[in-house]
Amino acid sequence: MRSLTIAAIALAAVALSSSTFAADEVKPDQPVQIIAGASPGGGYDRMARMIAKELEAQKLVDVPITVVNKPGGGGALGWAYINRFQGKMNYLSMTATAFLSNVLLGVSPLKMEDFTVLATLVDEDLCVAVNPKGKITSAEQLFKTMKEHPENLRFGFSTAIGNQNHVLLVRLAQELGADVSKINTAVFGGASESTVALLGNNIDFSISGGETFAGYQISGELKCVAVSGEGRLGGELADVPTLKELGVNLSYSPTRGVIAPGGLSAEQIAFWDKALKTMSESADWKETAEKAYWRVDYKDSKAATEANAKDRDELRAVYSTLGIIKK
Amino acid sequence: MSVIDGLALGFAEALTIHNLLLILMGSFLGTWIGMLPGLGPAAGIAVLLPFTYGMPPAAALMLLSGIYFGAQYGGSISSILINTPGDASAVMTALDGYPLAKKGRAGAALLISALSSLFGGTVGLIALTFLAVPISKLAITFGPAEYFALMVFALVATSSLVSSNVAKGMLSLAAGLLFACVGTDLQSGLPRFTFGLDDLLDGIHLTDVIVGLFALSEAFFNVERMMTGAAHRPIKTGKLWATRAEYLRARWAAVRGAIIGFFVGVLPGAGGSVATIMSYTTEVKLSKHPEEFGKGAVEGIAGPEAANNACVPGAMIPLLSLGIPGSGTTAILLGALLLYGLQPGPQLFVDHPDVAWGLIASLYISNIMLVILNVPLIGIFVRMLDFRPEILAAIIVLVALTGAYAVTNSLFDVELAIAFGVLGYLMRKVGIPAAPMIMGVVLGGMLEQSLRQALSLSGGSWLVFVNRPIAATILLLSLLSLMWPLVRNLIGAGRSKPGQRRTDVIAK
Repeated sequence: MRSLTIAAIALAAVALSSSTFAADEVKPDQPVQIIAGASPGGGYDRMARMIAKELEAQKLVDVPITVVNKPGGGGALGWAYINRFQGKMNYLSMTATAFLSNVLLGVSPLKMEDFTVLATLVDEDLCVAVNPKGKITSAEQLFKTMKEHPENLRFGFSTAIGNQNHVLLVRLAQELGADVSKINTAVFGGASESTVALLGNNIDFSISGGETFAGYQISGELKCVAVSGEGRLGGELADVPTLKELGVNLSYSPTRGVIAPGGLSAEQIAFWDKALKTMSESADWKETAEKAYWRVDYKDSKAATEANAKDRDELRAVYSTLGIIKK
Repeated sequence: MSVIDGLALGFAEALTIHNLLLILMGSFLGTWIGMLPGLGPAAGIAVLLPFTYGMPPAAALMLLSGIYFGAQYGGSISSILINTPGDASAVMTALDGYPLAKKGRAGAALLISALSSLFGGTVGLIALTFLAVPISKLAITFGPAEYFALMVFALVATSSLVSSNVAKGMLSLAAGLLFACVGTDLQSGLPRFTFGLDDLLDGIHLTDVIVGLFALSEAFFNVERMMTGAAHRPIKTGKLWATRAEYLRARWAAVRGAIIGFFVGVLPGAGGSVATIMSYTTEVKLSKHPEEFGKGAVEGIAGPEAANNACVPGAMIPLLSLGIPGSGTTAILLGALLLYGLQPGPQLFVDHPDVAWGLIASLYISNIMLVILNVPLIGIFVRMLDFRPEILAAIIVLVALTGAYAVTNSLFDVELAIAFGVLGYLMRKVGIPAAPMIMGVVLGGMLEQSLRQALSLSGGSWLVFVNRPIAATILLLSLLSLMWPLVRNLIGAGRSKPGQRRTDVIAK
């Protein structure tokens, strides 16, 4: 009898310890794939590689990490790809404004609720830039022309209608009471193309992330006249005033974040919350982000989901103004 | 820092054993990457990028640019020997390189190709070294109106290639332009001809078209030959030199090609594919024997080969001096620079002269290494002609489909490539040429977007093409080019037979 009891206890102990859901911590047991929805060299790819590097360096995961590029649709193809792996925590993807706007603009049927939003990591303040040898040379002049003679302005930006650069223009015009539809607008395929257009005075002003223009600010070939965040940027753009400082009551800082496929359990989300938060707080991460002119602003899964929902509502309003909303 | 000081610094940086080995490795790898259909320098660099993280940035860039240069040499080898261009900038070389090889003179074709590449690369490098700043100033004045004019010019020149079968050539070109329209339209944000497929949101990738129309259809043809029992006549390499007359003809074609290639490379957004198209069509237009093109005219090899090698240093100019990529491959190099923590642009020469000048110096070295590598290796490369057609076909299909997959890591591109392969096979059967279709796909996208950007920015005014001097000049030249055969016939009526200037490029 006694031996039977001991055997029963031993068996139970073995059963419990080998049980898969009695683990004290859920973590990825297969290699982690970070999917960047664009080709190497762009924003998604850069962030994906930054994250991969930091997670490995700080030993926040035990498994190997690879970055896979799945370019297309402004990120849509990458998100469609991870959408196949519901419930698996070893797939991550990078997001930006397009993640929220794709469904609104009819680019892709995938919406935020199909995925698990793990975090927003950084804010990317945008810069309004002009050519000092061009028609418009200051913020005051730009705002005045927008209000009085928008048809005299040529605006160029990249990479797609409705993206964060476009959104800033629309909201700026709204705040100034200007008619955005009269501004002559051209869309370019990449930040390089719109920058070249500005350098050659083929457009009067452009909007892009801070990093696009930083080098030219130093050399004086271009001039950033405003940044879109609550506070100023650092580095070479420290002298550029914010829109609020210039008297425009507008602050817009599009975020970049991380998502995982839908259907993750609370424990799986908790793991990533912890890992990404630790990564975000490290000095190394801050330094790398600053070089890209990104401001570290970590929000965990719950907070990020709420913030995204709010951003999406704002985007809806902007797209209705532009007349391009599909849903 | 003066140019001479800079070069001295750069060579000091490049001429270490470690870096020389990296340049050699890059050049060698690049040649192979260029040879493999579907895998171009952009894909090769993207794949090798993670391996360079531990290296000092200057060294990593020397490796990567060695690959870029090497790919321009390598692409022509498979174009000439097996009619499967390694990537977009090698397509034009196949048009005359392969017929020349079929005549038993592959050795001459490869030699002319290698020498023209050396020449083009050298001219481009010298221009890069001494003229970088003024040229980049000129390049940025090119706005949408100028790009549109350039595309019109290239398309008009393309039409001169259409042979006695005008209808078939135009059909091919029109289909190419139509394929270029597939995808998300930049100006409106609306998807066009995507049939609800996410994978088509970014349009039809050029790699898939080239891999399909050339590599796969060639493989299918090999299989057909095998199945119909056609005798396998291996292509003889022939002697490794060309006749004196050919050298003389090729010489000027290489000069023109180098100039065209360099300037097109400097223009952001236009790279090897546009450069080689413009060089080839220029050679056809200027030739006294246009009917020879498509049958093994050496100018058709020398021009494009000089162009695609001159394009590499050309594309480096906006990258290094403005931080703006001059071509698709330099866009990846830009990403690499950012990943290494370097800020490309005007500050790069000031903050990191060793990196910038080291890169330029390494290109000089790579150029020489490539010629030394390629000429003796020709003997090895031509061994592939000894393979039986069915084995060759299998290898081509394997490599080509891998190349198509490498574009987006998605099987969709493989499927698309196969579809184009079938299309290419059918087109050959019916005598519809493939080259105009490629040209349509390459030029169509930029043609349309530039036109609409220019019109958007001018507020809808078509006068923008007349008021801007550069755009107006190019458009005028296009018009003259279009009218020239007509005028010539009218003047020469009675003295020479009409239609004498037509070419037979695409009779195959």
